Order: sequence, then structure tokens, then C-alpha cells
Amino acid sequence: MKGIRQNPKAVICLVALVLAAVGVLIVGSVYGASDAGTTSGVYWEVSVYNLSYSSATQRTSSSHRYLVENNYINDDGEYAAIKPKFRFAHFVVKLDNSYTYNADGSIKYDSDEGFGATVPATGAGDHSDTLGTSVANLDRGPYKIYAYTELDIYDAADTGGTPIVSGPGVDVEYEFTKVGD
Amino acid sequence: MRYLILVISFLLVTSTLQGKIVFDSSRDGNLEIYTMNSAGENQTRLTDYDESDFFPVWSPNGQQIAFARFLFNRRGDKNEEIYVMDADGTNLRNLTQHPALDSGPSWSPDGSQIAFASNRDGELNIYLMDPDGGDVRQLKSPHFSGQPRWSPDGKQIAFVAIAELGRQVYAMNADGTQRWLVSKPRPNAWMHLGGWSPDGKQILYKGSINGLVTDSFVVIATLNPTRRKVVKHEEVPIPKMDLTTVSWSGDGKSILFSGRKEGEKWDIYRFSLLDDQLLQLTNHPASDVAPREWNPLLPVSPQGLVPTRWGEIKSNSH
Repeated sequence: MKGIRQNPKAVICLVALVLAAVGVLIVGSVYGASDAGTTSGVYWEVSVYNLSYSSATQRTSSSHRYLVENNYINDDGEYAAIKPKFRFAHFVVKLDNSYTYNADGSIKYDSDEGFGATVPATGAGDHSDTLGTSVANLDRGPYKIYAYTELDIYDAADTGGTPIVSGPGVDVEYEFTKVGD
Repeated sequence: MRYLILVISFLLVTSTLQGKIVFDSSRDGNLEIYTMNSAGENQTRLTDYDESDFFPVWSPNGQQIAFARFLFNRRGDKNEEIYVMDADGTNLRNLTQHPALDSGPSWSPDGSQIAFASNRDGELNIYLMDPDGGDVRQLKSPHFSGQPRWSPDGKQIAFVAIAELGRQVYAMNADGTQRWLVSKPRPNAWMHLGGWSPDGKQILYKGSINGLVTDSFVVIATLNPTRRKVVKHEEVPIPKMDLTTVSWSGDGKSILFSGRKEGEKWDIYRFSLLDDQLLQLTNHPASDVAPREWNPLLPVSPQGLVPTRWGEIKSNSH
């Protein structure tokens, strides 16, 4: 039986995994969260951070990152895992009334609408985005925004459309007072 | 001669008793706190700060103003803290010093407590503190509760919260118990609180469709005698314009709000509930918002509706 050994890239990914775990603490202190894992030889990371509101520009902002890598090769030096492609969704959920709370305190989304986008499946790699939305015409007062990052990973060779990893995601909320114009 | 003395005395008394309006304005580039008299005259800037000062409220005796201020921590993250100053802008004090958001102050009618919103325990909620910032304690309120406003008798606090019905106006006992719904839900309407009428019998709130100031309506909710149920919601016939930051006038006979006509900046208006007359109080190229009026002719008893010089009496007692 052929064993699968980790190559240096896998070690790097292991280090990245540890850093990602640390990153939860670091990023968390600035309105962020991240998650990471390995499935079928595919290493993935999702994170959302730096939620902010600017009274000068009247915009909110959030940063999103997605990383998908095939990080294992077999003894023959070939990739043992699938070649992944992935689809990610990232959005800043509509402020306020786009959600309500269930009796148990969990969030019940009224709609999937957001200010961001769902991006079509793309090749493996490291992607980052900063999303923003105008709050210029919103009433003054307290608000909360939700920024959300979600990932679906597919086998590039599989045309069936069933993800091998479905929906790992992180969300962060940020409260602020809207003032000015 | 006797009549002349009487006239002068009358003018002195009426000028002394004239109400004052505190508001935000961006006329120096960022939001600062200003005051003016009830007719919109004598507009005076009270704060001069690099970032925004906003949502000012009068203390019950009209001698102090509490407000929120944007600050930046060492990491450069923006934060909101609560400040108090004397009514002439002097004697500025910082009441909250917390890494979390502290905003939306509201004085209790006897001046002994300040309610405010903070997310220091994870999510925006209503807190109370002493007027010097001490003895901070959390009230039990729903998820995302903000904009607290004390009832004139001090027994209840109205606020906005996101709960089962989305963003609505609620009220609860001042100890955080017995929450009840004030606003009347409408599809896609996000509610904001204006406040209690001076007699405590009505609550003013504003709704905006999808949160937009361009599609807003103002409602007065009339409460039943137990004050725990709304018996009537009446829309205020304010002429069509963009609307934000509504509040009661000091005598409860009119509504103050910030309005924006097409192509213009925000100005402060007074809408009379007696004759539906609209009076523009400010007319400045910058934005004037968040008016709150203090009137010395406040009733001693919220239920009594007997005008007295309570505000002045309180002022002179200190």
C-alpha cells in the first residue's frame, strides 16, 4: 500500500493552520474571525475581519479572505488529493432588518440578499476582497452589520456539482452609530 | 411707569423661560454640538473637536448636556464614548472609558441616572450609570437594544431593539423587566425612537422603509392609562421631505425633526401638532440634525399637565 507523505508544502500548510488558529485571536480583537481545515487533501481557510464604519465617507467596510490549496502528494510525487475548485460567497448582510432572532437567540435571516457577491467557481488559490457599502441615506442611529464569508469546494474533475466541502464559513458582527449625512 | 415696569418684568420672565434647543451640525466640517433658542436664534457652537460629537441630550434641569463622541483607540479603531458638559460648553467630562461602544445617553427625569447603549458585554444593550459615570449596570433587554429614552415619571425606558419583529420600538420598566411593543410593524420598516411626550401619554417614533431617510414616516403612539399598551398609532402629517432624528418639543405641542428638501442639506424644523404649521428653524449650507429641546415650563407631575417652573426651580436648587 502506498503511503501518503506530506511534502514541505504540507508542512507549510500545517504552519499556516496554526497561524490561522492564532489569527482567530488576533483578528478577533479587530472584529474578525477565521476558520481553517483539511478535507480530502485540500487545505482551506476562510476569514472575515476589519469591519468598520466611516462617518466621513458614510460607508461600511469588511475584508474577506479565502484560501484553497491541494497540499498532499503521494510517494510517486503526484497529487494524492483532488484538484479543487471552489465557490465562495461573501457579503455584508443588509443592516438591521434583514434578519431577526429566533427564540433560542440564533439569527434568522429574512433574505439572502447582501451587498457582496457569490463568486463563480474558480481555481485553487488565495483570494482577498474588501467589500463596502454606502449608508449615506440610512437614518441616523445605532446599526449592526454582519459580514459573512462562506466556501464550497468542488473536485475540479467532477462535473456533478456536489461539493466535497460545503459551507465552512465565518461571520462577524459590528455595531456602530450612524451619524452625519 | 407702573405699566412699563410690568412690561419689562414680563419680557424678562418670558426671555428667562424661553426654551433651548441643542443639536448637531457639520458646519465646521465635522459634527459639533450647538444650541439655539426655540425660535432658531442665537445659534452657538459648544464643542470644538477633531472628530464627531453627536446625539446631545439635556439634563432635566437644563444645566448640562450629555452627548456621544467618536474616539480612536491605539489600534486606530473608532469607538464611541459618552461625555457631559455644562450647557455653555464648559466643564467637559468623559463619563465612559471602555474599549466597547458607549453611545446614546438619556438622563433619568430626576437626574440621578443616565441610560445609554453599550456593547461592552458582546452585543448592544441598555445600561445605566450614575451621572458621574460610576456604578455601571446592565439592564435585561432584547438583542441589539439602543436609543434609550426615560419616561417622564422615571418608571419606564423606551428603546429600539431587533427582536422577533425586526427593528421595533419597545418600552420596559426602568429595572429592565416587562418589555412591551410600542411601534406598529410595517413591512420593511425600520423603527427609530423619538421619545416620550412631556406628559408621558404618548411616544413618538419614526419608521423608514428599508432604513432610508428618503422614505420615512413619523408616528405618535398614544398609550392607555396603564402605559403598557398602545391604543392608537397616528401618522404625523409632516410635508413630504427626507426625515431623520425626530423629537418632542419641550412643551409637547410640536415635533422637532431634521428635514432635507431635494438638493439641500439637513435643516431643523418644528411641526406644530396644533395647526400643522411647519417652521424652519435653521437654514445653513451644512447639515443640522438631532434637535432636542429643553423647556423650563415642564410639568412637576407628568400626569398633572400643570405647567410650573419646575426646570427653573431645579436649576436654582443646585
